[in-house]
Amino acid sequence: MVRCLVDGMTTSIMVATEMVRDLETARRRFEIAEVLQVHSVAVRWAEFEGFNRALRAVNKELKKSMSRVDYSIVMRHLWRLNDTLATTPLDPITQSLEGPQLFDQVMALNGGALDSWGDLCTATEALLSVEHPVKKLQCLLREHGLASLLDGAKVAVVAPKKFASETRRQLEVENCEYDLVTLRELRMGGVWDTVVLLGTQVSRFLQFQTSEEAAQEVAWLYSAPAAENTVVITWSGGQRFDISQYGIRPEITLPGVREYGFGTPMQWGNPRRRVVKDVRPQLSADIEGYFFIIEGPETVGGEGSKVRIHRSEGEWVVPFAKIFRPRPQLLEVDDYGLSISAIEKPSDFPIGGILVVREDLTDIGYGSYDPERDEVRKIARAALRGKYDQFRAASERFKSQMADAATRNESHSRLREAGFPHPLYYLRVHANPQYIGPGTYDIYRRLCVALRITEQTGVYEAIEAIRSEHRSAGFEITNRIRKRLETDRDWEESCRTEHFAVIEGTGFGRVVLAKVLAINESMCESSELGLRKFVIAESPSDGEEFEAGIE
Amino acid sequence: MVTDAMSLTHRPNWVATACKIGAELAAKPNAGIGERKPVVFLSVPTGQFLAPLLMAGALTAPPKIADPKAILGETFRAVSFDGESQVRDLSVTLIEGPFQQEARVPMFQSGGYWRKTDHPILRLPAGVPDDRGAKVLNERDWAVIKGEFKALSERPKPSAEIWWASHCLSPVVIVGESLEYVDKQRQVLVDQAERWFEPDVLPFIRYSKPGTGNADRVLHHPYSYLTTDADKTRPWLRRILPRLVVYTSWRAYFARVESSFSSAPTVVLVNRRVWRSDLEAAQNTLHDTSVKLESLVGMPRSFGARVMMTKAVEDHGEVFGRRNDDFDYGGD
Repeated sequence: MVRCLVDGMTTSIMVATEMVRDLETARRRFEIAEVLQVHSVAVRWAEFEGFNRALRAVNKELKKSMSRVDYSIVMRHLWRLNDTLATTPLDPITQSLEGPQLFDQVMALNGGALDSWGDLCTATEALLSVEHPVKKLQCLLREHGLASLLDGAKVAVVAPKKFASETRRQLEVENCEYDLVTLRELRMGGVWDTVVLLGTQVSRFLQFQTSEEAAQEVAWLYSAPAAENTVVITWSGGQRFDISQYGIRPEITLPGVREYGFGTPMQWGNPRRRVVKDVRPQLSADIEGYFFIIEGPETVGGEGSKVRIHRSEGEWVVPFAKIFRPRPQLLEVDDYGLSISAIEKPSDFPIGGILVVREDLTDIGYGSYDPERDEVRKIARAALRGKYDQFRAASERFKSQMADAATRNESHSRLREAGFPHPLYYLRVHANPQYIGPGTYDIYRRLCVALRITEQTGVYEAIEAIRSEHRSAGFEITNRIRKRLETDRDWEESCRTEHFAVIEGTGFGRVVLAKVLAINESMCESSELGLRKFVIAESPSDGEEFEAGIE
Repeated sequence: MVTDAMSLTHRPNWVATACKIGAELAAKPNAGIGERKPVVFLSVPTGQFLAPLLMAGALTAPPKIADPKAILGETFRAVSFDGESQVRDLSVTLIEGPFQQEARVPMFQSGGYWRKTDHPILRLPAGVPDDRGAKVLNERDWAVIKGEFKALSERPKPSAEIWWASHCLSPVVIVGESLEYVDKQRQVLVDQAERWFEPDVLPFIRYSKPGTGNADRVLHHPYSYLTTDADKTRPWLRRILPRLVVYTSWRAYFARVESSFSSAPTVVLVNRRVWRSDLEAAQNTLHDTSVKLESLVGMPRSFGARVMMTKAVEDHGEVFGRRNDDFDYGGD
């Protein structure tokens, strides 16, 4: 009894202590945000420049001569190099910490098929023979009169977890106990006197985002900082640190930046971004103009055997495609059995992974399919009983009202005034047979106001009910497929030898299992009037079924 | 425990700013249906301690109690001081004064008590549960409150009862998640930094009752904590007119039923370190430059504010909150 009481008191004292610490941290966070000073320090690194040039030459050749290199483990490593290439020029400091490990692999790879391989090996050796610039951090800061930022201060050095041990090995600082933290730990943790960022931190998000989107992800470093002084170490050959990239909200005043050691920057760029910029369609509604394409075996669908992944406003979207109409899913096997999961972004498509592609047209939109094979609607109709047709009529009525509104001249401007960033989408989407209706009540209400349609709660309820039942049906069908694949395992051998398998059954129609053999990127053709434009005209966060529009 | 640097006597700039914003917004009149009211999206380096500070500021503003608009002889449900030691729900009738000298003066009668029409009485919206719980205050609590009333520098109301009831009838509502943690923040502020607050607001900030987190007991306390789904199941709650509504996150604001407290001035805390929320808030809001709020002028750099005027909408009983996505294809 007494012990319980003591334990209880100890706990409450600990909680109180923590709360007081939280108050102190909050106070400091506010004060730090008011006085933050950013120091952008550039290091010169000729060997890195040479390495980078060689790597880019390999990349160029790699792209040209894909067929000369076997689809094997070598390919994976080369693609990894490709990724490194995409990000390194912008942010070499952290990326290069992985150097010894990565470069050992480079040397061990059989890249002899590429003419530029020898240059890369030479450049790699040269790079490894010099000290990593992080080693000289203290000297570097002293050189610029910034030694006081480290001496006796409470310092946090930010590096990704995978580079932690290498960073600790390289970093030599005296009179300073530093905490090696990840970006997440910095965000969630306490406050320090100085934060040292190895690189701008943007690069780690660049694989699937534009640099603007990636910058937004780390904008808090400069608007909600964890220390009064933030030192950003970058490469003098890279892009100059530009704090204006990190402004999400115009009402937030960004801190001043002092620059040290910058010369004329090299004109490196992210090759992926450059491609996009050069060929981006000039249509105002197109947000991003390129797709990743996952290539499956030819036998699945001839030329169209590709799954397109679309990027829109920072999110990766796997749309319904003409050949693979329903969105593909990923089949995984683990100790607990089979799982079929949704695919959100290109990194979810592992080379060698198995895609589940339903050919029975089981998408959740309306579509005009063969009713005999249309399992989604069959299940939804059964669940809603007699109300399905009634709800669908309400939804179709709303679509026809949208169609009427689309013919009125003022609708475009009214939608824009109502806060829709891409009015064209709503003026055209009614023509898409798969469109069910607005994704949220808020959008429905705003559409009604903007397009002068009478707002009726019941109409939205009908749309919502149909969508909800279609989704439940989707789950049900996935479950049926999973059970079938668990009981009948012939597909495993087929996938191993032929890279694909076809399963047919009642309740889910025809399913193709296709092994991912390669991932490529490509531009999407776009036309002013084509339905495809719907796909890329709207942000996914808007909550619409825009993905159904690919034709 | 508190470091020397943390002065508990000197009110820091960020505390003063938060209190000023709370006070100015709470002083704005509640909007009628179809009228517009300000929503301030406050971008801050941390959301911690901001909600209690905004609340403290708001409680310095005069309470806003709507006229019950009763007609003579009408009996209706209202919340008011019960004549003993409680603010609670009552059945009230508007009658002519029972005493000779007040024979023609309308008064509210409830049980054996009569109140003048300028006393705080708030008509309850339809649908409020018949029994909203037992007594909130015991005699000792009430003695403490009366003692605090006597110690006030300026006594704004003729009695402790009227003073207390008028604040309870115009509460500050905090909506969000982890509300126990928010209440602990309030407690720590009281324990560690009492001098940061105006003396007249201390009785409310010190006030601590478990019922403040009970959505069914709104209007019985000077402030209430509500979870994000409290308004979904309580249509009556959506029609309450608080003095100020504070959403502790963009997500909490986004998930609200649109008609909830739509007449009351609102502050939405947007934590800059939760970058997705910060970005979403930035993309979904527009700063209305025509709205001039004195408290936002000359704010420290740690604060960023965006003000939108939004329409007060009537509640029709629908509970469609906004969902985050519509991307579900039948996968696990």
